Amino acid sequence: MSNDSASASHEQQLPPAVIVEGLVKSYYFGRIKALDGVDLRVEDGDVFALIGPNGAGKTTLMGCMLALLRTNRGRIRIFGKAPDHIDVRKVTGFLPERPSFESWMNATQFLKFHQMLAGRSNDATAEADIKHALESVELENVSKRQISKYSRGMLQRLGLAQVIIGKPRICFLDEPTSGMDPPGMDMVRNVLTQFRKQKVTVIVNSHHLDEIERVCTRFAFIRKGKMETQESISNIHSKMMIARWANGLTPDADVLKTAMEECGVTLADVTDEHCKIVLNGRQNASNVIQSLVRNNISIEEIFFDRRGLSDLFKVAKTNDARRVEDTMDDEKR
Amino acid sequence: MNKAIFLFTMKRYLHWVNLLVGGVALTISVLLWGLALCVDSAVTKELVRSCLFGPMVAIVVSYTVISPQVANSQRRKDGEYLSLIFSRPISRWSYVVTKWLTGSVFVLAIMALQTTLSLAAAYILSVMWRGHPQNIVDGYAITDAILNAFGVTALVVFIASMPQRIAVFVFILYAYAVLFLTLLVGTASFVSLSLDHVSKTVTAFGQMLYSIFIVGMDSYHVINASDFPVASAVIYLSNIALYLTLATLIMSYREFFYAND
Repeated sequence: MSNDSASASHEQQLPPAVIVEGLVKSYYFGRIKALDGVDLRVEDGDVFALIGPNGAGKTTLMGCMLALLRTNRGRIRIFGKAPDHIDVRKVTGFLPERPSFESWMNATQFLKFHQMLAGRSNDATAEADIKHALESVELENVSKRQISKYSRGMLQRLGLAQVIIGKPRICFLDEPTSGMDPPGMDMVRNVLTQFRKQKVTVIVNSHHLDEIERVCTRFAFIRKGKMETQESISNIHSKMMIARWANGLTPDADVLKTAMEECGVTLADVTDEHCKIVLNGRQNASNVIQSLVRNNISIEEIFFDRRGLSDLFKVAKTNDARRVEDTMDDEKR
Repeated sequence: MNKAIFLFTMKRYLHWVNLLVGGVALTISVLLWGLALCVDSAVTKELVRSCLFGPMVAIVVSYTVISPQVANSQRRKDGEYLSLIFSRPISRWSYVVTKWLTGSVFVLAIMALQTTLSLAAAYILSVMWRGHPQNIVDGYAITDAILNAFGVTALVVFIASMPQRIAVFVFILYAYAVLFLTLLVGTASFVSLSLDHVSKTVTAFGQMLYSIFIVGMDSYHVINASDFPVASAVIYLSNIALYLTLATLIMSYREFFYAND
C-alpha cells in the first residue's frame, strides 16, 4: 500500500469530531422538550454554526455536547468518546454566553488558573501562552485589573482568551460576539480564522449571521428543538436566488406563485423591486428562469444571493406564519 | 486532588476582603477567649477548649468558606463558575476531595491562629492583672482539632454540594438534629442513674446517631486507650467517605449550565 493510500485510509478511520444521534432533552418531567430527536454530525476541522431563533434549543444542545446537561435519550460522541470522558475534556474549550468569571482575580490569574485546569501549566511555553492569549483578545493592557471591573465586552474577550489558553482541539463558543463592539467582532473573526487554519473544530452558536457566513464552513438550522437543515455555507449561497423585476413591473402575486410551484421552489420574499427564491439545488436555477419566462414575468436580472442565512430565518418565519394561518383555517372549518 | 483548585481556592480564602472580614471576627473572638483564659476556672477552661477545638468552630469556618464556592455556580458574583470549571479535565470526585482538603487545612489554620492569638492575648491580659493564664493546648486538644477539622469539613462539603436553597434548609435541619441528639443523650445519661436498662439503650442509640451527625472521635479514647479504638476510627473514616461520596453523587447529578435558567 502506498503512503498516500495509507494516510487516506487512516483519515477515513478517524471518527468525526461530533456525532449526535436521536438526542432528547426535556425539562419538568418531560413537559417541556428542549431537544426532540436531534441528529448532528460535525467533521474534524469544521467551523460549524448552530443557528436558529431564540429558544430553539441551541444552547441546550451545546450544554449536552459539553456533558454539563444530562440527556434523556440519544447518544453523543466527541472524537468517538463520551462527552464527559477526561480525554475529551482535555481537548475541549468552552466560551459561555454569560461570562461571570471569578471576579476577585485579574485576567492573568484567571488565565493561569484555567491553564492549570487544562493541564497546560507545565508546558515550556506556559508563560508565553498567557501573553499570547491576552494579546490575541487585546487585553494585555488591562491584564492586572480585577475582573469585577471589566465591562461585558471585556469579559467576553477574557472568555475567548480562556478558550485559547487550553490549546483546544474542539471549541464550543456560545454567542462569542455578544456585547462586543465592532473591533471586538473583528477580533472574534480573527480568532475563529486562526482556529480554522489550525484545523481546530469549532461549534459556534450565534445570531450574527453575516459573521457566521464569513468564517463558518457548515451550519445547522435548529428550531423548536428539532434539526431542520445541516449543510455547508457554500451550499446555502448557491440555493438563494434574487430575481429583479424589469422596469419596476411587479408581477401578479398569483402568477408568481404559479411559476414557483411549477418548478418546485419556495418564494422567500417579494418586494416591488425583486423576489427571493429558495432552490432545492443549484441545478434548479434554469428551471426557475424557464418558468418565469413561460409565465410572462419580465425580469431584468437574476443572480445567486450571498446573504443566504438571514433569508433562511425569513423562510422559517414565513413557514411558521403559514402554518399558523393553516391551523386557524382548519379550526374555522 | 486537583492542584489548580487547591491553590486558587486557598488564594481566594486569603483574599484581602476575606482577611478583613475574618480579621474583625477573629479579633473579637481572640479577646473574648483571652479574657476567659485569665479566669482561673475549670468551667471557662473547658468552654474555651470546646470553642477553639470543638466541632462548632469547624462547622462555622468551613461552612462560611466552602458554601459560596461549592453550592453556587454562575449566579453568585464571588462564586466559582462551575460550568466552566467542569468543562475542563477535572472529575467531580477530584473537585469534592480538593474542596474537602482545602477546607480542612484552612479550618486547621484558623484554629491554630485563633489559639495562638488567644493565648497571647491571655498572657498580655494576665500580665496586666498579675495573674496566670490557663494552658489549654495539649495532645488531646491538637487531636480534637485535627479530627474535627477533617470530619466536620466533609459533612459541610456534602451539605454545600446541594443547590443553595436546599443547602440552607438542610443546614438548619442538621443544627436542630444535633441539638435534639445532644439533649437526648444528655438527658438519657442523667436518667440512667436511676433507670438503667431503658436509658442506656436510648443513650447508645443517641450516641450512634450523634456519631453520624457529628463526624468526630473522642480524642481521650484515641490517646489513652490501651488498644487503638478500631471501631471508632472505622466509623469516623467511613462517615467521611460517605459524605464525600454523597457530595460527589450530588455534584454529578446536578446540571451546571445556564440553558433554561
